[in-house]
Amino acid sequence: MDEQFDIQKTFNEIVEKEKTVSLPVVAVKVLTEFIKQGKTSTLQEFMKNLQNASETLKALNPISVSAGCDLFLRFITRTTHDVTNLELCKKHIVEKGEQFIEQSEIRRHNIAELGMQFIKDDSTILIHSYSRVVMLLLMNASKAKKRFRVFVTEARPSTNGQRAVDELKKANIPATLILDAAIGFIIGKVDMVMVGAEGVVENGGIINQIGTYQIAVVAKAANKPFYAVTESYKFVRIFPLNQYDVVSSTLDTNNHEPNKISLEKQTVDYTPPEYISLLFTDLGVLTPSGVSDELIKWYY
Amino acid sequence: MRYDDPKKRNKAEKNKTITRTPAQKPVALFAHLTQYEKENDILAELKAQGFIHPAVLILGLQFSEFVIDGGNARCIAMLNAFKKVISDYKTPTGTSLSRHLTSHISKQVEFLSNCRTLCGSMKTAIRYIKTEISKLSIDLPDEDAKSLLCELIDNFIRDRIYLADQIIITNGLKKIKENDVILTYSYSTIVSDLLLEAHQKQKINFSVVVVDSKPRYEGKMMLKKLVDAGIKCTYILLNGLSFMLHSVTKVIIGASSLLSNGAIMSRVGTAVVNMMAYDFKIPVMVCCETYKFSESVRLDSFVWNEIGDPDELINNNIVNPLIQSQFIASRQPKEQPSDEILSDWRDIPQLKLLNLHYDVTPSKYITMVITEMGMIPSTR
Amino acid sequence: MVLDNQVDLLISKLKRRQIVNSGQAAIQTAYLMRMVIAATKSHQADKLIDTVKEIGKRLVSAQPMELVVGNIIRRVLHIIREEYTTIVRQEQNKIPQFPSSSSTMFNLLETSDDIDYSNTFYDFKQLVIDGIKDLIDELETQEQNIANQALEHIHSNEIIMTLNNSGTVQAYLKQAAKTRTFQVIVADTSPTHEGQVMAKALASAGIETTLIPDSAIFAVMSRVNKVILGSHTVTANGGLIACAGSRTIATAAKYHSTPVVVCIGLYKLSPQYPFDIEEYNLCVSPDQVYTYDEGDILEKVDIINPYYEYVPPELVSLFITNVGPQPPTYMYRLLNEFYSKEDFEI
Repeated sequence: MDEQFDIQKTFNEIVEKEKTVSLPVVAVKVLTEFIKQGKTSTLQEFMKNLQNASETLKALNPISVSAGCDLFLRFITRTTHDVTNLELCKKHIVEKGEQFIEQSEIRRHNIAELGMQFIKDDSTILIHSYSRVVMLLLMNASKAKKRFRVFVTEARPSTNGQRAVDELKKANIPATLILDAAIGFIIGKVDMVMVGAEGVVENGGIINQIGTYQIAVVAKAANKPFYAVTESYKFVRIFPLNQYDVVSSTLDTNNHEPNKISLEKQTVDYTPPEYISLLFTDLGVLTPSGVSDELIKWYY
Repeated sequence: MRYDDPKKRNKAEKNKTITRTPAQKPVALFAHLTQYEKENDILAELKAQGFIHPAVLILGLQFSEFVIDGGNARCIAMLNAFKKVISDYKTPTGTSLSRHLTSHISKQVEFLSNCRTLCGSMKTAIRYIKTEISKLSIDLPDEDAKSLLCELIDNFIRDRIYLADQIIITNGLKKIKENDVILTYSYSTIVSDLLLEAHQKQKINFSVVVVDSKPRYEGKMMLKKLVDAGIKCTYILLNGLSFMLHSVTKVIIGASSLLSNGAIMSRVGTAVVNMMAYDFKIPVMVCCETYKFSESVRLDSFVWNEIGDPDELINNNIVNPLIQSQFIASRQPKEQPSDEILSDWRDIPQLKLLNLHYDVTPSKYITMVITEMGMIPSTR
Repeated sequence: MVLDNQVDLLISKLKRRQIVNSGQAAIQTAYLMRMVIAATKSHQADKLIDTVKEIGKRLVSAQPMELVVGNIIRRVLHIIREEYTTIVRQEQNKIPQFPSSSSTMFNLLETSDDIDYSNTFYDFKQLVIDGIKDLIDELETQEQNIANQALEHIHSNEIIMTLNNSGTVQAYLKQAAKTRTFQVIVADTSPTHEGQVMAKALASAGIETTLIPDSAIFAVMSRVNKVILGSHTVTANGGLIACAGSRTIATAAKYHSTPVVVCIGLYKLSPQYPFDIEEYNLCVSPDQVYTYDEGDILEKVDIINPYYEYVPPELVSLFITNVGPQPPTYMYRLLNEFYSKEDFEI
């Protein structure tokens, strides 16, 4: 085990330094660094160290980071399957890892291009909180001379909603901040809902900032399309049965007494696939059932 | 009517005041309903019978030819005819007016119902007259009784229909706002009056989508009335519903009767419109006078309905026959549908045509019922 | 040139809507493509792809609503690519890689080697022409293929509702009627009254048929066991672009929990998403709705007569295609199987 390399520290540094990079990419970055600095001579040891490193990472954020770790590890397993020269193999992995990191920005742009087509002139879009890829999509749509307006939920207690409104206004997109409690009131005026995702789970449902599920329920009741905009590296092999089956970074999972769960700290919720009309991803526009297809293809 | 029960059917056949030849190949699902029959020289038959009042006779013909159509119009026409029946009535010797007049009225009613199935509003009115007759004091002179009855009928028409409509319009106006896009189906007097009032007196700026359907295209009458008054209108058939509903803000329709389970019995197609509006989350308002409230409960459009002339369906001429005769005199009268796709439908044994007159909208799809008593939820 | 004439002929037919039947449009496009391939002098795959694309673009823009034309072009392109890669793999003695599709999470990390389409192989063109021949065969037999599945979905004494006059649905019901007794209720489908044609055809084939006006769809739906529809096109998310009125019938079915089955040839599956629903609502002349001799009222009224409308996928229970039944959420699988991702946009 490489003692000098502090995974948590590296992770925090990268997150701090590069605010626009999403967490799965950061995870791949950390792991690539880890491989670069690691000095292992056998494949077995290499894999073991990597496993440990990824476990440490996953503990930091069980959804987004897990998605990145699992993806990268799965790739490494495939690559190292019939390898003779470990150094050469490592080099290859690092190369691919860096390529992946480089391309993550392009991928996000592709999604934005794809999702943009769903925005009609004079439409009204409801977005939840601040999502990098949703913001990019809206900016691109505006650059493409589409006229639309946006309602943004406040996403209390965070200030993310305000941040989104400020940025949209700066880009000359009419944006209005609404109370989280006003979703039901506003939905009749909305043509579509767009949210980002922290993770896309096995059945095509999404895990995202808390409040997403209730928007989805309201949208379904009002027959409004609900689109999730997300990179495919956020697809993760988790299958939640319900809200309380989602591993959350802040929920103390050992404590099962409900009144002891600190709800103020709950940051994510789970939106089941039946509430999601389509997912805009870099693999194309997918139905929720398309997600599990992709996951199965990759992990088997 | 249990038309599928042979005993009952025979009884109905026997009681019939006129004989007519069956014209329809019955549709199995609707075998229990009175089947549509073509008139077989009604007048010749009736001369022999004599007890039908001439006013009722004319009315019956008008009903069967759909010259008078619509819940309110038919009810008012019937009541006016009954006023004549009552004024011309002479109590036979050996009986009293309060005893005999009821059965005399019943015979007229039976004739009318043979011409065309009675609608809910007419049934309420008939029940009202009969109750009033039975309440008459046996000592009251015939002439006084007759004028009292006529007055009561006038009051009924005034209070339960005309005044009720006025109040419904006042109530309905509160719900029509600037820039509304109001969708309505087919023709309803109360709805057209409401819309005209909103446009002419209240000067509200709104537009109307008139939805119509075959075979009688009654929406064209609605359209003409609204357009003549200067209201901005769009006209579609049922196939354009989902296209137009995107921009519609409210749906206002009339009803034939409001059943006690909150369901609405109305012109066939209303349920289609209401369901689609519900699916698009657009509020549906039904204008309905309380005299159309019915005690019966119906879960679907099968248990009670009226079956119309199947030949209407094969006629692909899209002109409303009434408008045609009223406004375009140059066109030849009702074209004989000989060059239509299905003009030989009777020769294909497996082919049946079903021309229903009513359907039932479940209360779930209706947001509000506007009555003269106020605005009520359809579930009551 | 003969070829140019043929291309122009098809374009003008499409433009004037002389081919309204999408099955015919598909077959004629496929025949034309076979001619195009045969007439192209080059044996290079990329040249073929370019030529097909170039003519394809012209055909598609001739009648943008006839999406099957684009679909057939995509199928032909897919055939070219498939045949070519197979040859290349054989040449390089490579076992076909799993998966060959370019649309998976694999590209996140593993870049699949781009295929160089510029090589020339002996026999390659013949293989493509054979491929198109198979495609034409498929187009000509698809209706029968779909009809052959009828007994799996229709039981005896069932009441089925349909509208319009879809050839596929008609063949399907007639096939089922050979062995099963059931009833069909056909909605008139005003203003085209195509339902009357359907009703007549079914009744003449011995099926007990009832014609109803469109207004009675809701009233009668509670007794219907299944709604069977045809469609003009299926979008990538499993939605339909079908004749106006389809959405109403499907919604009525939804509120009665009646399954909606859509019989559709594979060639109607289009990789497009319903970005703009109104784009697919082709409105035709209103004279079917309101005749000009009904007076001056026409000038003051908007009369709208949509021909197609969009039916969202949640209203469809099952698709029956010539390659078997598919639920709407999995239609994209067929897309990936029969089209190449790079051809989604021609």
